[in-house]
This record gives sequence, C-alpha cells and structure tokens, in this order.
Amino acid sequence: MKQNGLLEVRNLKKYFDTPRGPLQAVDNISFSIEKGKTLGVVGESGCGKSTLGRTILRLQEPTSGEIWFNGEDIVKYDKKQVKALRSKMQIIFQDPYSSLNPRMTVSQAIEAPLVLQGIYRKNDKQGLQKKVGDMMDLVGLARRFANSYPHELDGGRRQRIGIARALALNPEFVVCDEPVSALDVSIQAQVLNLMQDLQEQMGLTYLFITHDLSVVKHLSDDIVVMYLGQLVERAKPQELFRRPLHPYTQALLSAIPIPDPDIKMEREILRGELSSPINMGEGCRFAKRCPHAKPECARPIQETEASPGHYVSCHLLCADQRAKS
Amino acid sequence: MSHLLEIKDLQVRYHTEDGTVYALNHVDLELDDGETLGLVGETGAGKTTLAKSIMRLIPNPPGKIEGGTIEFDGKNLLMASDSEIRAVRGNQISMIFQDPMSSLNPVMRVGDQIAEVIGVHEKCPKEEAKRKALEMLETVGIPAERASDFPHQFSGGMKQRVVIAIALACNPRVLIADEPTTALDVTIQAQVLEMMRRLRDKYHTATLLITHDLGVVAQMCEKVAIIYAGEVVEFGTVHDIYKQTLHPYTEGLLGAIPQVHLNVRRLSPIDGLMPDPTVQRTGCPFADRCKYAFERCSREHPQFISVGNNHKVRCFKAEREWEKGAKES
Repeated sequence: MKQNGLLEVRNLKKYFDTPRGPLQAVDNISFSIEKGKTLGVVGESGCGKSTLGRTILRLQEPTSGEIWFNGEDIVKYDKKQVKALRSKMQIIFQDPYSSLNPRMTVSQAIEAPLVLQGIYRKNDKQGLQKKVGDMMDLVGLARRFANSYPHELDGGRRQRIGIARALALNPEFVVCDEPVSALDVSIQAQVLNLMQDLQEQMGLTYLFITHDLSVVKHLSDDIVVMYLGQLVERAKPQELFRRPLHPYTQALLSAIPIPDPDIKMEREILRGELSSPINMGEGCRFAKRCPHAKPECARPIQETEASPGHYVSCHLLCADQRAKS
Repeated sequence: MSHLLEIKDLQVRYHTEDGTVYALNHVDLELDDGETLGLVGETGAGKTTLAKSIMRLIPNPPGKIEGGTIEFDGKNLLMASDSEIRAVRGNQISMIFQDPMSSLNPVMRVGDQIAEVIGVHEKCPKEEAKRKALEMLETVGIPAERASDFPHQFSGGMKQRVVIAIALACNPRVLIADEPTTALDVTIQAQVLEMMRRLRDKYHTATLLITHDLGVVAQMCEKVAIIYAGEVVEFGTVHDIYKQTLHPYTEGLLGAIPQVHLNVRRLSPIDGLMPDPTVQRTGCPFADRCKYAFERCSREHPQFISVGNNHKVRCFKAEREWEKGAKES
C-alpha cells in the first residue's frame, strides 16, 4: 500500500473500557501529514485530541487502525521497534511544570534520551556536555542554566528544556501537545517563533494540538477540527477560516474574542456543553447542540469533499452537495 | 466628579524570608457606576493582589498594604473596621475567582450555597433566601430543579455560572471578576461572557474584569488598565488602548498575540522577562525590555501622566511625544 506524506493515519480508533460502556476517545480518524509541514488539531477539552497524539506515538495502544510512518505500519511494531522509533518521533508536553522531573537538572533532562537510546554512553561526559550545550544554544537557553533545577526557571525557559529534550535525538516528527497554553502571551510568542525556526532548520514535521484557534491558524499548513473523538472538518487554514462549513467549526470560530474593539462579533452562541463520548450512537455527535439539526442527522455520516482539499462530515452539507450536482 | 471606586497611590508589599516583594507600586485606578474596566497583565504583574486589596483579603502577614487609599462611594476601605468591611464584602463589592472548581464548597448543595449568601447579607428568613436563590439560578441559566445538586454534578461552565449567581445574589454595586473564563473552553467562555454582559445590562453592576486575554477585554470592556510589574502603565478607553496605543508594553502585548483576522508570518514577542519583584528599582520597570528605551528610562521613574481625555500613561517616550504634539498645535 502506498503511503501519503511522512505520516499517514488510517481509520485510527482508541476506545477505553468504562463501566458504562466503551469511551470512544478517538473514533475512525484518518489524515496524512507531508514532510516538513504542520498539521493543527483543534478541539475543546475532552474531544480526544491529546489521546490522538499519544496514540500516534504508541504511548497508548490503538484499538484498531493503521499508522504509516516512513513506509511502515508502526501499529505492528513490537516493543523493541517502538523503543527505536522514539528517536524519530517525539513529543512536547503541555505543562512545563509537571513534565520535567523536579530532581533532574537541565543537563540531566536533556541527556536522558541520548543515553537511553544509546547514542552516547553514560560515562562519555565530554561528548554529552557538548551535545547538551549545543541543544541549549539551539533552543535559546543560556548555558549557565545547565546545572539549574526546573523550579529555578520560569515557564518559558522550562518549555525550552522540554523542546531541547524532544529534539536532542534529531527526530523527524514531533507531537506538540498544547506547548504554549501554560505560558503568558509575550513568552508564548517567543516559544512559537522558536518552534517555527526549528522546523525550518531541522525540517521537522509537527502535529500541533491546541484549543487556541488563533495559534493554530498562525502555525499550521492544514487544520483538522475534532469533536467528541471524531474529525468533523479538515482544510487549509485560509479556507477553513474564510469558509467554515461544519456548524461546529462555525460556532467555534465565532466564539473567539477578537482583540479589536472596532470589530463587534456576530456571535453564534452554542447551547449546551460537550457530552461524554461513552456509548455514542451512530449519527452525528454534534447534532444535540447543532442549531441546524434535522432528523437525518441520526444516520451515520461520511466525510465528503466540499471543495478541493476541504473535507467535512455533516449531513446537511452532503445534502446540499447532492442537490448541486 | 467622584468615582464609585477610586484607588490612589496604592502600595502593597509581601514581606517574606527571601526578601520584600514589591507587589503593587503606586497604583491609581478608577471605576465608575455601571462601567466595565478591564485589568490586563501577565502572571505576577499584581492583578490578583489588586483585587484582593480592594476586598481587604491580602493575607497579613506576609502581605501588607503600605500606603495609598481605596475609596468606595466616598469611604476609604483601608480605614474601615472589620465589621464595616464585612458589610461591604459580598453585599456592595463581590468577587468571582478564577477557578470555579475550587471556589465552591464540594459538600454543600449549590442552592444552599447561594441561599447562605443571601441569608447572611440580607438577614431575611430561610424560606425567603431559598426562593431568591432559585431565582438567581434561573437568572444565570440553570434550571431551578438543579438547586439540590452538588458542585461535582455540574460541568465547568455551569459551576462558573453558580459562582456568578453567588456573587450577584445581593445585587452588589461592584463585581470583581478575576479571570472568570480562563479555565473554560471557547464555546463555553462565549456563553458565560454573553451571560455576564446580559446581567451587567440588567443590574447595572460596575465590573472590574481581570484577565490576560486582550480579546475578551476588547469585546467586554469600556475602559482598560494595563498593569506591568505592579504598576498601571497605561489607562484609557478600549479605543485609546487598542487604536492609540502609547506604552511600549501595551504595543508589545498587542503584537505578541496571534490574531485570527490578520495574517502575520512571524509574531513579535517582547524580549526578556518581567523584572524580579524583590528588587526595588529607580527607573522604569519595563526599560530593560523596551525597544525605545533611552538613558533617562533607567535613571528616573516616569510619572503617570494624563495625555488628554483621561488617557493616562507612565512612559517618558509617550510624555515627550505628547509634549511635542501639544507645542505644535
């Protein structure tokens, strides 16, 4: 089977067993990412976006589906192969306060993956020190912090450690799980610029998970919108923001407060809240909150291509498309 | 004209074992009846300290209000006795905290939590308080039959509605909302903000909205105060702040956010970090990060000056430009 792009995900599912039935955190998701590009994943808390990122890295075992990376289906990998895979696929976590070991210094944190993967021997102090220094330069962290502990550093610097640690193994693909949402705006901009620079320098491919639509528009080459474990829409950022088709995407976009007092927003306020993705029926999961819901929304949905490269899963739009053709 | 709430020259310090933290330095702020004022700043700028000072909730020790006045309706709250301040809290000025999960009592039914506030402040019989509590729940968009539920049975957005119902139960004149929607998702944030706007129009409550989100401020507030390292550096109408930005820090903040309606290739972050609050400085606290800084900025501390029409700024560059403009015209 031919693979599209560096990474291709086909019909990926991750279900968790709960006493009330299966929780469908990731349900039948397919997409691909080109080498050197960024795919933005947007959705609200509980929509399954972090689970998606973790499942792709096999930090969690997928229930079913295929993950093609560099021409191989990594779902079939055994433990040893998965360990070797870690040097090619890495993750930057959301919270730089809890993702770093408080008892490891900055240099120890950056060294750890290098030693674990056997790239440097533990007693190769000189080699490690040089590599750590290079990594710290790369992410703009002054070398004097090499022996500091995470609690001595602010959020922005800690996130730089997280980035240095993820990139130390020279990976091809990085999952960024809300890397800037714990940071203040002025620091957030510093880190986002750094991530863009590193992508250009190292030819990195990002899966960028966030709830912040303005960040995702700024960074991504393609965007997928998730709702309750399913992909509802995917398109290029310009297209998605200019012509959102799915009612959920439309509501999400109209909910962003725009930092300009002259633009008064035409708000489309959604009623209700995210329900739990346990024992979901066949039909559209958004139907309960959707202002345009019709009886046919209870039937299973197929993704349709509304215009070239713009995919949407919505019954109402499918009907529109059929009427047109 | 006197303001409903007027803060003058407020100084708050925390005396800790590691030294004195200069949390608020010479803060001036005013809030008028029925007005919404946005207080914007980053982590550690002193936003929450300011809110707590107004409510006289600064823990002492280590915190201490070292100077200045906070006048509410002509009375200086800093001179008020404990019983006087208790009559103000919740009744005249009330507060919503950031995290709705931790500001509700987990073992008390939500209806009782609202009724408690009404009972304490309005000294009305239990039945009456209960009836009012149910009314309040309906006002914030929660069906009255859920009054006997516990907080854990509510989602984040619903809990924040309950907190707002408690804060507004006694129809206060001032509401201090400390990051009321930061913990919520965007679609839920939109619901809560919409509700706050509706209630503000209905009850005419003056609101101090504390946030780091410039989008929320632009959509909700009439006036804005920008706070940096314990100082209000710029104050004005939303239009002044967003369209006639004077302070380099405000300019930096506006440049650092990615905006959905604009296409920017690269963000322009503010270099460096906020200064250490334990060091008392002589110059402008923003001088080290400011791209316009000149020699005077690190030597002298700028005054909070008015540049016409109640737009105030604390910056030598803005001061110089304004003087130049005034001479020319």
